[in-house]
Amino acid sequence: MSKTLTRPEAAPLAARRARSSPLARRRALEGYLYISPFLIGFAVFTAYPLLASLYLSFTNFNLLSPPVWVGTDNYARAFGGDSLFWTSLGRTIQYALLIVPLGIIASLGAALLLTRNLPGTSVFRTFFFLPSITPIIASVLIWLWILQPSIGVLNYLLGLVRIPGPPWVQSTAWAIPSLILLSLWNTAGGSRMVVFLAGLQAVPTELYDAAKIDGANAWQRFRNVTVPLISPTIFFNVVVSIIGALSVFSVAYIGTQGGPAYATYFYVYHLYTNAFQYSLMGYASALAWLFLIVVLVLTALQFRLQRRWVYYAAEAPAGDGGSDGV
Amino acid sequence: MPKTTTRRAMLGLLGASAAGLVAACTGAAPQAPSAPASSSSSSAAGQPAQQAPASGTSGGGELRLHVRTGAEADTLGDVLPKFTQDTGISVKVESFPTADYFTKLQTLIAGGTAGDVWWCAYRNTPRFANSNVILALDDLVKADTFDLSQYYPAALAASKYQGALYALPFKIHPGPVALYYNVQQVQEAGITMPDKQVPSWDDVVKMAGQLKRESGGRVDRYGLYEAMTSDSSTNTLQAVTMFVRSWGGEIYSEDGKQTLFNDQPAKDAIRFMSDLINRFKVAVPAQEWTQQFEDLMIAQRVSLLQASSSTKSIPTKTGGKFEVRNTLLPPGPAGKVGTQAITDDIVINAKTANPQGAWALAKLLCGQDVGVRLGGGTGGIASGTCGARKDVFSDARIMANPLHPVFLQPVQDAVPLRLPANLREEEVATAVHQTLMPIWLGERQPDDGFFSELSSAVQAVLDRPIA
Repeated sequence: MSKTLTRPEAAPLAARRARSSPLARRRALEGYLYISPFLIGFAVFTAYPLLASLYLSFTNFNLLSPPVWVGTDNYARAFGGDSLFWTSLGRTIQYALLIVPLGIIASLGAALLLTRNLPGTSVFRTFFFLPSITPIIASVLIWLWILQPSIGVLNYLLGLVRIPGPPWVQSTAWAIPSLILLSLWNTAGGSRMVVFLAGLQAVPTELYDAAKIDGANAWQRFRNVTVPLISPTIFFNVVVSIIGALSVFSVAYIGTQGGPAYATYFYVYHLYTNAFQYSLMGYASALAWLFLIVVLVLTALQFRLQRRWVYYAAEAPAGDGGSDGV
Repeated sequence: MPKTTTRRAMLGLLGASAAGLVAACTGAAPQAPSAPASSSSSSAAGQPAQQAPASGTSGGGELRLHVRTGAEADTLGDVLPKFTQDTGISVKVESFPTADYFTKLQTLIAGGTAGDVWWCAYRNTPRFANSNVILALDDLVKADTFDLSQYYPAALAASKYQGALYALPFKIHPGPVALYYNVQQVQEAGITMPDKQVPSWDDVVKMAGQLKRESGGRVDRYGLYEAMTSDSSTNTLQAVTMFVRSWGGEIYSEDGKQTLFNDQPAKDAIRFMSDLINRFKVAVPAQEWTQQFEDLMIAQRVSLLQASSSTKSIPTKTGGKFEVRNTLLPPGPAGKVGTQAITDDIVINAKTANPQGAWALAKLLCGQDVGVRLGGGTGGIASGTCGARKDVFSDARIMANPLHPVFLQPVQDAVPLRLPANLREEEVATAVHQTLMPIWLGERQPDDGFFSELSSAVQAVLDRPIA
């Protein structure tokens, strides 16, 4: 007795037949050909260097001789034989712990100001955004002049109000705060502020009206209405800011060369020094992969913790039957 | 009806573009370098030096030359046309900025596309020799009966690695042994500067004190600038080496495997360097250091400047606002000025297809004519440091520069540099520069505990395997 295929059983077989047909194969090939420029570029400029650096991280490679396999020696050296690994990691974490919250607060503050529809808002929006599109080299060099201990503008202004200005980047205690000041100027009004602006503008105004009717003051409205509703935006900015803060390099490379006395010797600068000054490509590759793992773990942790404090307005609360509609 | 591009046409266009891209890339693809016999972690002692083949042609073809952008590259523009005329070999000069020079060069070497001849610094020649990247020149010298006697012995010593000559000396200077001074400021302070050498460091401290100017609690002019900058670990290491040698010490043991920073001469020398800033308060503190030696002197904010022969070109930067002269720094307690034979070299790629032509080019670059041109003896802007040859240092055109004669004796007496056995001098320089910075900033005292830390930091680098 022949088995007659019912409609649900016939569907997968029909689909398989459709996929394997010459026409379908040709269409798939055409699709791949259309995306081939991207695929080739990705393979050559992203995937291959990634895999090559993974291989090199298990070798000694000084560019002058072929790589020599050393197994996990580079990774062992990072943890046990290189005091600067921990120094650089510590400095980077120290920098990130300060710049991330300060940057979030500064960007959010700037965005809040710009949503108040005060006169000249569009002009201020431009002024706030300009530093973020200034080339970093120009920013750092100008700030080095501003922060110069004896002839810099900042210490001159502080001197006018009888405050003795610190040595800024020429001091081990003030070097990181100096770079934080520079970075805040560069990034507070940048893309982070724009993202906050978008988030703030998406908050329904009727919620503020309702809160006002209930007698909430400005701080209470901010804390109980604004912050929860822009928590996804805050989360996004926090994740991006942490990654950016851990990757800090340019300000140290241009401004302080990791000094004075390793005060600004950040992780990526340590990686760069090993790769391009000491030509220790194998060890630098190992440092790069360790950095990737750290960033991945931190990012995963943040995604896990977001459930506790990020409120997505589209999510239905647990136990709610929801409204399926009629 | 507008004409539309069909799918076939689009695919054909993409295919043609891809083919063109692949053709362009493979046309310029470098030859893969052949693996040298030695691994990077093993000593090259058992490896025979790569010598030039006996046969080779020097006529015709092209040589690629890598040099630093600036005075050196500009100088070659005058001499290379004649080389081409004489030999029939054209020279393509590829210059890179100093800051990126070795990064670019090593990338070219790794890619198998390095040029035939290149400029090299003293700390990199041994690394290249150890990795068999550059040609040993002994056979070429012998075949040519080339006279090496014009080169300073210390310069030749710096160009050798494990007994073989791997480079020709290009430039030499004896380290920061000169004291440049602003003539007007010195005269206004009533100081008579000795022509040849300051008698003692006490005299330097006294003069610097007389030249210092303060007003309103602010220092308007410092007496002395020690030869260190905020960003260069090499400058710090050379300045420290100069003082340590003046005090009778060394940075490394003779075999380059042990640091000597915990020895008394090194401690005393560094303490004195610190005293100039923090105790006598006559030298520029680290908070005010600039990225170029001469900046504060050009701005007339310092009267005395410790520097090397590259600062001979400072008159080209003062704009005629004041006159600069120099004299030799005093001997230290060991009775000598701490010289160091700091050389630049010209090396030949071990894989060059034209070793004879490359050798001819190297001889030209390290010849008297180019050596004089480098020192500015033929006019124009030059870095100041001239060729590493006796006939260059004593050339009348170089001697005409009043800032030059002070270097004659120190170069003659220059003591060869000791390098770390594992060739990690750049890492040592970074460790020294960063660790010493709190001393120059006045944040730490150079006590015995500090020197233990400094020794440990340097020894940690020396204990690493060969670079």
